[in-house]
Amino acid sequence: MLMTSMAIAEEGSRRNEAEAILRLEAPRLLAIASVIVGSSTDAEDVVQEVMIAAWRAWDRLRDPASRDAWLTRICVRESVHHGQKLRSRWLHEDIINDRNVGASPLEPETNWDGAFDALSRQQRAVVALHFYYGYTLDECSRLMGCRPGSARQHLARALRHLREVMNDAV
Amino acid sequence: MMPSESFEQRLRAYLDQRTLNAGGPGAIDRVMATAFDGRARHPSRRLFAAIAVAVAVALVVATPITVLLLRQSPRGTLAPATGVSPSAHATPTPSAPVTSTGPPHVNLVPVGVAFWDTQRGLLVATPACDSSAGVCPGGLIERTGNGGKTWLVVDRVSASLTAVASAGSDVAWVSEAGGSSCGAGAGSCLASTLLLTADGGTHWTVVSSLTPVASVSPVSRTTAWAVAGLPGSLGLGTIPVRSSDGGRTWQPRAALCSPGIGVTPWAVSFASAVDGWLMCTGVAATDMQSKELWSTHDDGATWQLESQTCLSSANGQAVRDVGSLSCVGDYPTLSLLSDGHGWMYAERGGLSATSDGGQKWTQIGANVVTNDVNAVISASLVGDMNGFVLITHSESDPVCPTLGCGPELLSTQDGGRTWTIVDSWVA
Repeated sequence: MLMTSMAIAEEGSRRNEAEAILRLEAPRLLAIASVIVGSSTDAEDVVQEVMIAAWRAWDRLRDPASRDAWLTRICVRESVHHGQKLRSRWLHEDIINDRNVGASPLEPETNWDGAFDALSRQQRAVVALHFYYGYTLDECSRLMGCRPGSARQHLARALRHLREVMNDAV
Repeated sequence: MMPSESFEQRLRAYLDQRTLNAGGPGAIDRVMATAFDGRARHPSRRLFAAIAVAVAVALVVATPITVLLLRQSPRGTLAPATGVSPSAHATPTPSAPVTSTGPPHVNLVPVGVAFWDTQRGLLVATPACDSSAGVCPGGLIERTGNGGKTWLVVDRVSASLTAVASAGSDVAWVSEAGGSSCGAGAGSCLASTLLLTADGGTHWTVVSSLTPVASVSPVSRTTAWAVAGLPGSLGLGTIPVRSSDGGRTWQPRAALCSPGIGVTPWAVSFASAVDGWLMCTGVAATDMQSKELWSTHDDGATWQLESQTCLSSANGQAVRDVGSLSCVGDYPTLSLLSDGHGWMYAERGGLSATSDGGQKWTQIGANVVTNDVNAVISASLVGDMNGFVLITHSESDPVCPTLGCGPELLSTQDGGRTWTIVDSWVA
């Protein structure tokens, strides 16, 4: 009984520590997921998966200093593959993008939304990671789990599309 | 201002706005509650759960006879295993036929199996307890002499047991948990205490070491290989180690994992005194992990690279894959034979097999193992075509509502094409 209590107490302490760290990281991960999957609803799903995956492997993380990069990597890959998982489950849901609720189709940001939402998950990921979060393309490829050449291709195609839709000269 | 700069600035401003809007009110609380407490399920999760239940009900209604037949195993009587001589405190554990109404082994959670041949093997288990505790104190070692149909308790210990590995015809080494911080996967647990038998499980010797080890792979009563590292952080500075005094001391061996590409020793599997394999892995992310497999055929004096996947160099350049090792799957565990036949199982990576010493790998057991539905937690290959796997079911497995989600022991006699449920336990 004593051993059980000690085990529960130790497990509880470990869990509280992990939960506190992950709660601090949650806003950043939600932002990344939201940009890539395009829907707040799906982004919450993604980050839930990230939390579960992180907790599952919490004790296996070798270097606590690399925890941010580790969580980012899980989040990016989970976001990129999130749609595929849903399709594989034959789950058909209406994608609710609550950022668009009430927005006029003539507003400039709606054009950006339309152009950005037309990109693939990989393209959105590399654009956000490179232009907003400042990762190099090699770092982007590691976060996304693809080859550097693939990341460059995704970025080039994404920028070409965005410039075309936004009528921006290259 | 150049047009391209203006475009990039506008793009950054748009991304800034898009990330600012991420997560509505209470989003973080919802995420944390679902991930850690399982409450406040997201609407889409509820929908998926409803669909899963509906599918499960449909399956049960449509195919009860098929499922019942599938679950019935060719079990014999409840006779104890041949040659079993339990210790004074051991008690026989009778097993009932595996049916949908009376699964055996209530309050017992198997965590590992190891067989010497198609009939004789060992199983380590922990008593069931409050799952919030993660690891339950106390462990049992059971032995079978009839291919897993019936089991007899041969030893009980106060510590939790995490893994068992066999060698030769009667040798086995059992690992005790180093503490509750060793994580959910048995492969990650580092053990400072080992239990050894050299007579098929009749007598056991307790050995303690100053070097915590994981992935213990014995080759004899006195010799074994393992991976050593820091408790709770297996991987950081891990190194293959070898003991020649029955696990009391461990000597480091050269770490072979390619330097500079982020992989470190994770698991070893030795099939004989000279033939062994070392798996090096990188940081796991979701269901992908870089892997590198080396083999030796001279007791570790020289090593050959068999396969590698998903690696990138320090400057970000992708490293060309070797062999057909899959990038998918985390924390791989090996079970190989001297003739080059082997199995590998991984979290979210299923079960795969090789027949050429680890260069080519093919997925097997797809009919019994599905990622995120059930998972292999232990495997023991005893011949080119014969082997055993211990699998667990998640709550999303359609068989759970009626047949239970407890672990099952499966065996194959045709290299993994078909499987027989040999035994099962209550969740």
